[in-house]
Amino acid sequence: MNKEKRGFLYEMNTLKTVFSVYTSISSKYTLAVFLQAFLQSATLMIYVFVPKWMIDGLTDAKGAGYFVVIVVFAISVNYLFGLIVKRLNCYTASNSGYIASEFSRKVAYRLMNVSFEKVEDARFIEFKERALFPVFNRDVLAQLAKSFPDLAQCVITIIGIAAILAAANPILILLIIITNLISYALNVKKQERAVELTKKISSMNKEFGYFIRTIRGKESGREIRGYSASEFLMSMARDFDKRMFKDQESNNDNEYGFDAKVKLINALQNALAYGFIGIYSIYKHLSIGNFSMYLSAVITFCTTTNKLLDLFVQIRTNAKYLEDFIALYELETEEDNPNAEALNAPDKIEIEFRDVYFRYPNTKNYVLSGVSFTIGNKEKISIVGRNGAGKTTMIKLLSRLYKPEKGEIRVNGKNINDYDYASYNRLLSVIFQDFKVFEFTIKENIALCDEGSGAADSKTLEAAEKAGISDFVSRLKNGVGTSIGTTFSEDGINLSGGQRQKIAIARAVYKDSKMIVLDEPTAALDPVAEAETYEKLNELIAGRTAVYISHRLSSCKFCDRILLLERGTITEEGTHDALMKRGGLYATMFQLQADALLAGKQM
Amino acid sequence: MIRYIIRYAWKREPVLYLFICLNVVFLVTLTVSNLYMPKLFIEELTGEQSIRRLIIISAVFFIVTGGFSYASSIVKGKSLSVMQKLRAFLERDLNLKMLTMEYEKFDSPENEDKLYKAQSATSSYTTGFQSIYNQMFEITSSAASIVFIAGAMAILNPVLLMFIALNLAVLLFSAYQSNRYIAKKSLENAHLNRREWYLSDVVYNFDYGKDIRVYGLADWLLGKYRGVSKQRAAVESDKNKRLFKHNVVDLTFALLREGLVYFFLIAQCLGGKMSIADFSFYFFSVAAFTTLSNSLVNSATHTVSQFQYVGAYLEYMGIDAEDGKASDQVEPSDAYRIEFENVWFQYPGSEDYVYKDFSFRLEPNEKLAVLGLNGAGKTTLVKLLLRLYRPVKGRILLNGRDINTLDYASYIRLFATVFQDSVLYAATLKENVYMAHEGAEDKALEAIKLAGFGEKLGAYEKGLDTELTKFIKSDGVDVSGGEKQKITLARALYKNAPFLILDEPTSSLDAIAEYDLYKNLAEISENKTVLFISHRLASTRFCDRIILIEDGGIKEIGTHDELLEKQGRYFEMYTMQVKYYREGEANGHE
Repeated sequence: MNKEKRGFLYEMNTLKTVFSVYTSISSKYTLAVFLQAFLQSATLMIYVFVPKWMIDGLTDAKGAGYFVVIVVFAISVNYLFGLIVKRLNCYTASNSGYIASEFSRKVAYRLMNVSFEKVEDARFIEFKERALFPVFNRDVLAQLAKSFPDLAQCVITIIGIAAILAAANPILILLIIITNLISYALNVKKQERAVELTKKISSMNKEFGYFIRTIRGKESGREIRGYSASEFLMSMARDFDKRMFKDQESNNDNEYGFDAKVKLINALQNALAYGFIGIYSIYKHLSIGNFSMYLSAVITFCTTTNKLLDLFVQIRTNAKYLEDFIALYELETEEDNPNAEALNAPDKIEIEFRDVYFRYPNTKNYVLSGVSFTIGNKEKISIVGRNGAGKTTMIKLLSRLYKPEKGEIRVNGKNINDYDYASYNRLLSVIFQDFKVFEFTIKENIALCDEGSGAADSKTLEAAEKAGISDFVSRLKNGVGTSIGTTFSEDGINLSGGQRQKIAIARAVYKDSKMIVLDEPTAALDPVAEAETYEKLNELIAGRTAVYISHRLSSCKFCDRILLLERGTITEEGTHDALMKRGGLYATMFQLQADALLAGKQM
Repeated sequence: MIRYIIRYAWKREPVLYLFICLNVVFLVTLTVSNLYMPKLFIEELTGEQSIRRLIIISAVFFIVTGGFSYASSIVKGKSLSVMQKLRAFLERDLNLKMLTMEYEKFDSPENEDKLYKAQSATSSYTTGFQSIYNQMFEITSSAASIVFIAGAMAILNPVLLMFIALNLAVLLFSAYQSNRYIAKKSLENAHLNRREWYLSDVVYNFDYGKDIRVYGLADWLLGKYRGVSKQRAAVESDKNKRLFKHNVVDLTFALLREGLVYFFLIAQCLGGKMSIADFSFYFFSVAAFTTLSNSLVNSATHTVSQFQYVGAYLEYMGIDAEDGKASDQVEPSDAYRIEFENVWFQYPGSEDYVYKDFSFRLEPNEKLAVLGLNGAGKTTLVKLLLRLYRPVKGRILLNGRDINTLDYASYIRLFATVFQDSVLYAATLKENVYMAHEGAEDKALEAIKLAGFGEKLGAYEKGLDTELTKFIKSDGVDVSGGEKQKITLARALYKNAPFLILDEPTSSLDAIAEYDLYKNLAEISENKTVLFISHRLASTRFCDRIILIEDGGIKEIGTHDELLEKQGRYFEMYTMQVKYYREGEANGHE
């Protein structure tokens, strides 16, 4: 009982939240929607009386004038109210999609500002997918929004009709209410089963989404043909379908089995209504007109109360589906330390890692166990190590995507978490290994949010020049206004891996920060482009502090100092020559790369 | 098109049509009962007023309506399962098509657009095929009920029937016109949907998370998203205003229809030609007619609006169907020789040629390094060899036979490729190596060890049965880039084909892992022809011959020493990379 109650409160909270967000986005919309409901209700009510008026006129053999008034009134009400309702519908239908998307943008904003450790947490990612699925694939949000006016319409109609029936015998109303409660109870049971089944179906849908992406991807396309593996994938798909069909059938049988029982109850209600009112009319010597009226009223009452209960269950179900989504909406985003200081255009940058310990959430092993080093102003540092050593993790810590578990990271003597986030970010330009290029124009990809400023064009060209991509851009018909990919423009182009890397570099250049961090900046480039990039980078980082991470140990020669990260700590530190003399892991790795290049087959 | 839809269901799930017929019977009976009831009651009330008879009528009414509406719900539930199956079958057919059609056609941008539309035909319950099957229920039952009511009206007065028929015709016409307009608008604005979809992916997909935070892009991206949503809302508004015009026509005609019919009925009744009971019957029939005709019109127009997707689906399924399939089997041989004969190639939709009059021979058991700057066409060479694309001019020969005349399956059996952007599938490690459900476990183990993944395998509890990726099973493992490269190398080694193609196999490996690969290369490539594509010049040291591709052809070809002597492009590239590894060289820039 308690669980049910808590569930109920949760659902009501969801409902309230959805309603208030919708209204805050557009109160006009909410108004329009309720006005529509009211008018539809009114029409229904009037048509309870219309047959009575006509039949009364016929039994009393009234004159033509009487009928003209009745008929004209009836059809004009239909027409006028109908017109207004349709016009309102025109407005609401056009805007409901926008409002739903505005709501989801609010949620997206939370997600973009939530603490980064959630972003890489598999469980949170699953939670997010689960939360978004009903909204984007099943339109639950829009459905829930639609139920408010429907609810209003039912309530208004019921109140109105109850007033009419107040004069009639209460036993009838009691009978109707009892039968309604039976169908409500059935409905609740059905929904519980439905929610269970839907959870199964939504995880099946995740699987299904995976198939679609895989089958339709270009990369898989090549590989599957290369390995004659189409049957492999199709058999996975067939297995999946078999399981899906079973679940769907259970779901449908549950849903419609219930539906059938409810229709039976409705038929009972109608038959009882007829019987009861018929007998009542005979006893009370009611006119045919009044008989018709009561009949219409009772039947409308039955349908409307059933609809209300149905709606109620639907609302609760949709609210349940939206629970996770609302939880996302109510997520706490990372707030800056209230005592945060702004870091305004400092003259120099000095970085210190002080005995930093870090492991990813929900893992046992430390990735960094006591990392300490300093980077002086304008120094160029190279961080090397084997795959998985923790090099990228250090960058994530420096970018404040994660916080150290123990130890501190300081910039200019102060813990980086004591600076306000926005101004701290301005200090660093980071190019991660898995940077993303957007399918916007080249200028937008380089200037990013600064694209609208007056100087954006010239700054973009400058950045492109420094990154080594200006020749390419100048040969394009639309120059920096060329779209990447065809989502935003038919004349969009595709970029090669190397070109993308240059865009990422241009982006960092444009930002013009005092410190630049590059994680494998030349992985996708060929030797000539790589050499060019190193030259350009050297121009670029002159006068700035720089951190490189690279496998290509040749790049280390450009740096003032090299840090070797091994098993969570810095085990070797020094210039290239010093480390080569030392003969440790760095020297070994460098020698291997050199040997391969110089000696080749003789190995 | 309609024939295809009807025939498909008839072939796969003919029970659907049984359900449709039952549905018609049920719904018409229900409509009719609901119209007759008031009439019967009023007759009794204006007649003998026998309570017993009223009770009997009510009981029969309950049995009939109760029984039929119960049955109709059950049938609806069963038919929904059938329709969902049909949709899934149609979607599978589409997926199979994508997997087996010629890659070149699969990759072409115009077919991609067709695919996008074709997908709408099978991707959801409310559009495309499934909704059309669903509407069949609505349309047939509404139409049957309307026919009944029209019949009743006709008996009363044929003029009435003509009037109603005219009415219906006007409604259908107006609905058709506005829907055509709406469909046109939707087509013109399909790109807006794609843009909104892209932007919602960007803001929700955590892959963009780092860049968004580090460059502070949240507000900017949301602004763009909002902009596109507004554009879409404007288009919707346009469509809805057009729909409103139709609604006005609708309501006006309803006004006329109802007004005229009511007056007619009243006149009949006052003139003594109709009882009050019959009056109520016809009165409610008019109301029912309005509801049914609206429903019919909506169903019909919705169905018609889905035809564009079904058409796109059929078009996509028809691609490639005409081309004669090459069926000559590859002749088995100990030594396979490949020859490119004056090959010209450009990507569909591109103006530049990647290869211009390219000629080249690949000898059996040769280890060849393919070098070139980014964009020169190294990977394209692989795609042409694997018949993912066809040369625009010229031929590629296998032991003298044009490869495009050979049966694809027997041809591709000769090639094992490690792609640059290979994919790990949501299946077990061994299935990922087999690229099938079943295979030889010991051979897979050997391949894994040879690829350098043996040690890591030891750390997996479930060994070869470990599920890769977390897409389907949450206890699956995600592997690093380097580990993925090793697994895909194992895949190629397992296939044990005469040709081994390695496309940038060391890009994610660190110095030590890269070295290990080179060390194993001799063992890996025994008795095979190997194509090693890389711009890491270290790889060239392990090959017999090197070709350098530039400007649409082979710029230089020879052994490492021969090319160094030439002092051309290769020499340039080599010196550039080696410069930094030589001791005593100037220390970069200061």
